[in-house]
Amino acid sequence: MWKKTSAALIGGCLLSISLTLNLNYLLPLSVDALLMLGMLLAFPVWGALMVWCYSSSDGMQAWKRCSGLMTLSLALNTVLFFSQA
Amino acid sequence: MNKEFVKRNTEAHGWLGLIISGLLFVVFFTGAISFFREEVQLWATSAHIESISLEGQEIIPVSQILEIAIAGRDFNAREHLTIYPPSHLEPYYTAYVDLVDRGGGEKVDALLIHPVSGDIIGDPNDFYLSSFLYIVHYSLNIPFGSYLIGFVALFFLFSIFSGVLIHAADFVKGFFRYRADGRKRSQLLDLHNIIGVISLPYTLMFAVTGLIFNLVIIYQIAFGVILYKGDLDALLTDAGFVTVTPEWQAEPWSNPPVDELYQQSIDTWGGVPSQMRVYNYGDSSAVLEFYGPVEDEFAVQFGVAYNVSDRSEVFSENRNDPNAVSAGLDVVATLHYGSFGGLGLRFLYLILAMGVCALIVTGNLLWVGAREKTMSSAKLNFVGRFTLASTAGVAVATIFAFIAERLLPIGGYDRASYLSYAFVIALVSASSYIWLAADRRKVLVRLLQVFTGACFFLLFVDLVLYPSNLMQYVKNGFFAPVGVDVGILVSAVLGAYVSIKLQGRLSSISNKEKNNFAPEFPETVN
Repeated sequence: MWKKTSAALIGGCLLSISLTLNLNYLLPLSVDALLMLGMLLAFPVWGALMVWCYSSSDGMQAWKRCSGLMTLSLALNTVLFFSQA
Repeated sequence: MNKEFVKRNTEAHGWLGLIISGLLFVVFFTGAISFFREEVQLWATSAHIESISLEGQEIIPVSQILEIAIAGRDFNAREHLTIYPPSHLEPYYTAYVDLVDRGGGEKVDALLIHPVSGDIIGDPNDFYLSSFLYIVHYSLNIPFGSYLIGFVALFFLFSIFSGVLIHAADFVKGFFRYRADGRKRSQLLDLHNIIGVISLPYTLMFAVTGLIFNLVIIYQIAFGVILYKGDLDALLTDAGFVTVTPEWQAEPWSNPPVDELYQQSIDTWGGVPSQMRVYNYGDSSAVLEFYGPVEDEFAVQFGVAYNVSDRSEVFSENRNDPNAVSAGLDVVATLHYGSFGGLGLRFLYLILAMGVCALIVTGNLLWVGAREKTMSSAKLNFVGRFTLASTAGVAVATIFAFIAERLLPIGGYDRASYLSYAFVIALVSASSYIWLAADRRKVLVRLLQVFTGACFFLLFVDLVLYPSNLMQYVKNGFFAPVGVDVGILVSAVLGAYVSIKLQGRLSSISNKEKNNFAPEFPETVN
């Protein structure tokens, strides 16, 4: 349970930041609307990721899940970051 | 839903629910009382401050109140002077005067000012109960407590999501199921599920809004570093946060139009400001800032600041194109405080909060019941006593804080700290009794009896010592003090009813055990 919890808290937090940043880059809204949307969605996304981590068979699978999705999300973050620079 | 998925989430839901149960109960219990924070504050002041009738009376203008607030004080004009005008729940001006730092750190004088005579009638910091319970609600009144409560809210959000998924298959079919004739475990589970489902929109809203209040700094820092390349000031500007920092000119102001600007904000925004703040009071660079609700609009707050020298606006919320973050946070706050539907809505919020408290207790009892055959009795005993301390113990400590608010004399010492000590001492005493008592089943009955007795004692004090004060408030149209006493009476009656029922059940269990066991075998209860 401790390993799943570490994945849920740390992995979930970092993933939620990365995913909401992607939304920030992608959605055609004003800057204040994007900030508010990010604030509203970030915690439910983190909560959902926690459910995903705790439904893993063990801590290793939970971390693998987070790392896999994080790799994809970070790749998109990087592409979007440089395309908007 | 996949069986393994449900099983793993059930295990996590149970363990995390148990770990956060104590603090979550404190959050919802003190939060429920905090919906009536202003009413409790008026109840507290009613014993020591005479009721004020505003009918047919001329209220002193704010410009004079500012002068009264700073008269004879070591006022630091380069800092703030903050005024809260009278309202239907606080019938006096409240002023906070920043003092010059003479080496002892920042100091602020707090005053209650009679709105008609201008007399200084008290210090709001002397009446700390409502603020104390509110601060405990969001931060436990400890350093970094707000972050701890933030993580409790995060695990609460997880518990909600996982609870919905666990119960998904039975969500509709089992909506009204309560197996009154079933086993105790079935009844507890049904109760847990019914409360959980019915309060779902409420609990989801509180989890998300509570997280925004306490943990949004995580995303603020992340967005600031990544999106704004470290420029947090730019992030705050885009989010609609405005900092007023007028530069001191060392030129005295001339005929400052304070009352005219106050009236101008009312005329512009349609509402009396709930807060007024003056920067650089007395200087030509002075700025007047007003905040308050916009009448007849849902969750809309106004904020406007004027240069006193030429009445120009320093900033103003744009009604036609409000900032999404500041408008959004106003909605978040309005939903969380229940300040959009009057007294009836706050009562509904109170009942739902008590429902969540029952959700927490039933959850812990279910956790213990599920492990009765697999876990050692010492561990189950620990969980049982922990549940008692964090629920009944907190209720007892809260009523003793109310008693302290009533009985502690006013003036000349740090009354607020002594009120906090009363809460902590009562909590520690109740917890010590819970841990040292031999028969755990009788502990709950005794605590309920103590709670009930304390409630009746408090009512007795009000009826004997302060009846004329309370009646005067009612005559002047302020019903909150009596309303709080009615709430205490209802709590006392409920406490008495439950303790009598439990006592009766314990007696019949004891009689059954005596009849079933031979006399030489001692009763093995802990």
